[in-house]
Amino acid sequence: MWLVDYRDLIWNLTISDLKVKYQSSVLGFAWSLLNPLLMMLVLYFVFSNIFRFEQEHFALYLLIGIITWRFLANGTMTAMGSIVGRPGLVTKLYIPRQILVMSSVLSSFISSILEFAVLIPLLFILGAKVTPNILLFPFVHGIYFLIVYGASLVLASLFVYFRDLNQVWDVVMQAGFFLSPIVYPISIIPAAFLEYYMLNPMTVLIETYREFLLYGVTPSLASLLALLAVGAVMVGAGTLVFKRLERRFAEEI
Amino acid sequence: MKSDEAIVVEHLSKEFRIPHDRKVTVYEHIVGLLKGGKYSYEQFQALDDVSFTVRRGETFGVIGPNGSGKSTLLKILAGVLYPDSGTVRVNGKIAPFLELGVGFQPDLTAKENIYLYGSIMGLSKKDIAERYDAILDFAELRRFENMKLKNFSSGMAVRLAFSTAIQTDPDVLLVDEVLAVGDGAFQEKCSQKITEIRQKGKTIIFVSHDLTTVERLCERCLYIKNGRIAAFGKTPEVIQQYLREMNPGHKSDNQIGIGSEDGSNKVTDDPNKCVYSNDIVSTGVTNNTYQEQMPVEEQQSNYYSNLIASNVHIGEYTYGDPQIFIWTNKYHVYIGKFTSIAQEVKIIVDGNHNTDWISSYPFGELIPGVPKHPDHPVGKGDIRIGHDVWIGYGSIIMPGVQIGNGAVIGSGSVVTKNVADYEIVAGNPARHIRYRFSPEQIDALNKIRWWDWPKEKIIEHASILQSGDIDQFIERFS
Repeated sequence: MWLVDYRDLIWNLTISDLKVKYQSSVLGFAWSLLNPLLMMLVLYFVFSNIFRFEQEHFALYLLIGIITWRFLANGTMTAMGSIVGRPGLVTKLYIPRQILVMSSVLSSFISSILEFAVLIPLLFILGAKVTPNILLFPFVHGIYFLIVYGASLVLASLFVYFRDLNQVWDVVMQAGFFLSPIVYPISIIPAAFLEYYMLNPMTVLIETYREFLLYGVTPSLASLLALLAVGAVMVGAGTLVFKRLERRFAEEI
Repeated sequence: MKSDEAIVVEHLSKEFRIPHDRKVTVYEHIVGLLKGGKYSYEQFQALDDVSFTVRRGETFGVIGPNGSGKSTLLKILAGVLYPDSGTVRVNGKIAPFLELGVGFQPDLTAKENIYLYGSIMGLSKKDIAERYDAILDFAELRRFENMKLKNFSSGMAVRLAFSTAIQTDPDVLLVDEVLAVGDGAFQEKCSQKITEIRQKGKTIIFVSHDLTTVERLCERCLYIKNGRIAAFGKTPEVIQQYLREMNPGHKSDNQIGIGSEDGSNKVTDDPNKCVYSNDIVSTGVTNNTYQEQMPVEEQQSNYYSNLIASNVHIGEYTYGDPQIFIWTNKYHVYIGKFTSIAQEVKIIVDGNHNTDWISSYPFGELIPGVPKHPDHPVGKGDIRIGHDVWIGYGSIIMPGVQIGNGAVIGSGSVVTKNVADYEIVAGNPARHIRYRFSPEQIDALNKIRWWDWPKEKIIEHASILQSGDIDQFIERFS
């Protein structure tokens, strides 16, 4: 199993990725925490004062949405270039290529965990209802990792053949940002569309995070299992696509 | 698989598709579909039904001209490319040395890079920790342990890479002309290490243009030509056949005195061969016939630096022995076909010094411990020299210069500006003298591009090429 055989390599690639990312800027890691916080402030100002959304703990509501979304957006965007960005590791020696995608997603995953770690004290400070449900975090975040990893496998392998996919994906991500309940309460969706709206796994995911982090609600087993199923299917399909496209990587890069 | 076999290759074939119109974006694919275009491509058979067996513990050579399929074979053995048909079976752990320092991160320290590169080459964390001191000592880089790799000179980086890679202790080693790295003393250590590995009974597959080294190291040898096995067996016999085929006019040239019937002389086997001397490069660009006219003593005992070898691209039938100065690997030199380069010609790719700095001295290059400045020395871009160019004795080609097809550079010129097709320049700095032909004639010659003709056609029309009948030539071939 490549995951076990190459665990040291996966870890080394992940760590060096993070080091390079955070060493190169003055504030280093602080940026990845400041970024969502500043974004939250802007959005909070816009949406609570101009649109006047009525939502309990709207600031935290926004922040959870933003941080959750960031893992998908950053994770897939950087992982997409993980094969093309390391041509030497593809054309000059053999390592299972999914390692490159895995380590890229892992480094975004670690950044995301740190962002959530900053969120926890804010939950207490801003008076959210914190319950033991918050211990569900590792489980839900694990499922989320599978979803992002599965999507990244497809994107990274397609990117080898279609080099403007990042532009396309950028637009998809921007649309997704507004099609998911990040900056607005889910209650503004007309009841007629709600059924379709909930088909977006990101909607279910973001709502799940809010339930157990912010509102002290235990997510239903059905929704957790549904998410787990989505994660498993994503990884399965991603691996399938990746294995198929991988054969000609070295020729195309 | 028998236990005395290290690698068994059976009926290996690999075909590349070279699209006529390469589409790499979604946009191009959509436009292509709307136009109703088909995906047309040319097929190129890189390997065609290749079978052979490498015995355990032998050093096995692979030779052949450029584009013959050597690299494809090596990449399939390394697992990087997948064959279309046929099988490869490898007994034991295989370590490809196709390029050293793959995956190095310039922003990390030497120490961090040892761990990173070590794990890429298949070492566990524990293995690396155990060998860490040995790696640093072998590379002689103990003092720079915590320095970032981007401040290393290219020589230091390659030393670090070699020292790490060599610790992987593989059963089968794939080597693509990277054996020689660093300065003379380090070179010596490398060849000792390789000898040590051979004596331990490891299998080595060695792909090279350097027939002398292949003959010295390899008991058996495979000669690939156009993707097929042309010869396979004892090294001296295979090399002899290779030399004979590469140099058909060889026998009639015997009067020149350097016969290679015994296959042991140092005749450059490949027109694209480049010979290096540290960072200052001297190319042995030669067509055999011309090489043989030079006294043997004049051939320098240079060595390869693969890092920069990849930046020198020289067309077929070009001959001469220019010194090519490359300090970094930012820029390339392209020299076309049928170009004549006289002696003492210097091609300066990026050896310029910054004259607007307080000191123009390359501190980081030459004084260990001073971080290398990325902008020193400087180049101005690739040097491109066209086909059928003649460069006279002692000329100097400055960075970033482009020289057109059929140009003539007078002896002792210093070429600082681009030279047009069929232009004659001379002097220091080189100035325009005249054009060899009229604009219409030059236009026609550039359309005919006789240098791209197949060899047979060139031989057939050699007499008109060596005449002044330019109008007749153009009329006939336009």
